[in-house]
Amino acid sequence: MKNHFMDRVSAYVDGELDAAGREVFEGRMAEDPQLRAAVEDVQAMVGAAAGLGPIEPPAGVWAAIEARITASPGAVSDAATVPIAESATAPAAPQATTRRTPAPRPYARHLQAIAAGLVLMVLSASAGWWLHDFGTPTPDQLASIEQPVAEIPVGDASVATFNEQEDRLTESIHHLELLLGQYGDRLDPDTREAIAQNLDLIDGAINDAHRALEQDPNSDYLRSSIANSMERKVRLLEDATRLASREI
Amino acid sequence: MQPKPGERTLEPRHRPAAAGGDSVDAALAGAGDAAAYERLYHRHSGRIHGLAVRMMGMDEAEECTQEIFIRAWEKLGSFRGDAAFGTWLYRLGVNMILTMRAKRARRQGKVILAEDELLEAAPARPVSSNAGMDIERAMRRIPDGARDVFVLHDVEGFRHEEIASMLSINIGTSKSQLHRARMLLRKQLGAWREES
Repeated sequence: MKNHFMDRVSAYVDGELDAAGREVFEGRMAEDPQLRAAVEDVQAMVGAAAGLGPIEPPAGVWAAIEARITASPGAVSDAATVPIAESATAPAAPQATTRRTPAPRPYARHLQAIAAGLVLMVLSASAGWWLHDFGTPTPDQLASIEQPVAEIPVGDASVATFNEQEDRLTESIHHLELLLGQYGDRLDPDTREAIAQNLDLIDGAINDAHRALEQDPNSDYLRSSIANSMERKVRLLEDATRLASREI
Repeated sequence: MQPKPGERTLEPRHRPAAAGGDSVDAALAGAGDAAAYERLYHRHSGRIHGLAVRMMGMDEAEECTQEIFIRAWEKLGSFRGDAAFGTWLYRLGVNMILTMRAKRARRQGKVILAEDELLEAAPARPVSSNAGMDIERAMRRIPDGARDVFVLHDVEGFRHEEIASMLSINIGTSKSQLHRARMLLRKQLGAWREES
């Protein structure tokens, strides 16, 4: 006959039985040496298993990984966002940069790219206000507005969606600002200044849009505008962090 | 969830201490910094390789570890820091091992043996004075599903809820597989003990 107590050995050892079940189990264990032996064996096994540590791979494994990741574009080329240097008119920066094979440090190109990014952000941020304040623009005016660096999937700008999106973006911004605070001093002063100006402009746009939203709380347009600006801030911070990481 | 009186605390073990350094290095590695990635590798490779050895077997563990870290490098751009890097990497590793093992089974046309056949199919080894080594050896001789749960629960210290999520099984299955693994291991260890 099957010993059902044997099926509960793990539950007993792991403390999953309730008080009554535990009492019944221990009563049975007192009169069943096989059950007691099973519990003792499992307890010893669990203790020994918990002591099994990590197993270090052979030394050659990292060398093989390194050879492969430095031979391919890797994470940079697969990143969802477009680095500033690639979004502007300047030539694209090297895609994979490692400490052992440092890329050239074209500050002038970075600055040119950031300046181009600045123009795009000012134009796209101000375009929103222009549309909001002055109604439908003429075709000439529309043609003068640059498109954002990348399309932002704002989607349904309902309040719930917006709140969720704003929380996510706020968290990302906080995380990236911490990183930039830690590594930003590796950038040259001109680049830092350009980034700071961009960030100020974006923050201004976000604050203005928030104030407007207080006056017009049903405006999906304003919520979209805030989300777009925050997304831009995330991308700028990501790009700044990338630049800083290349200076290590 | 608080542990019940007398219950072991199943906090995952062997986690590297430098979690703060992980987030910075993960961001730098995501930007293409291989030196930062090397630091992450050295902090986490022991745990990932241990997982590979125990779930894939020694012969394929090296290649498996390599593939996990290559894939993680490729996917770092999508790592947003929502979870700790170690947790993210570990989950990626488990998923990759399951996929690799399924491919291996298809390639080899593997036949799943009954539990008793599985234990009797492999040659017996004498019991050693090191309980950990005996368990490592015995683990290689039990079915994959039971071994996976045993490794994740008893070796790594994950909770059944986490294991169920990682292996796409329900919590009850995780518990029953753990019990099955322990009973099979006990049987194997007992057989070796008798032989010696």
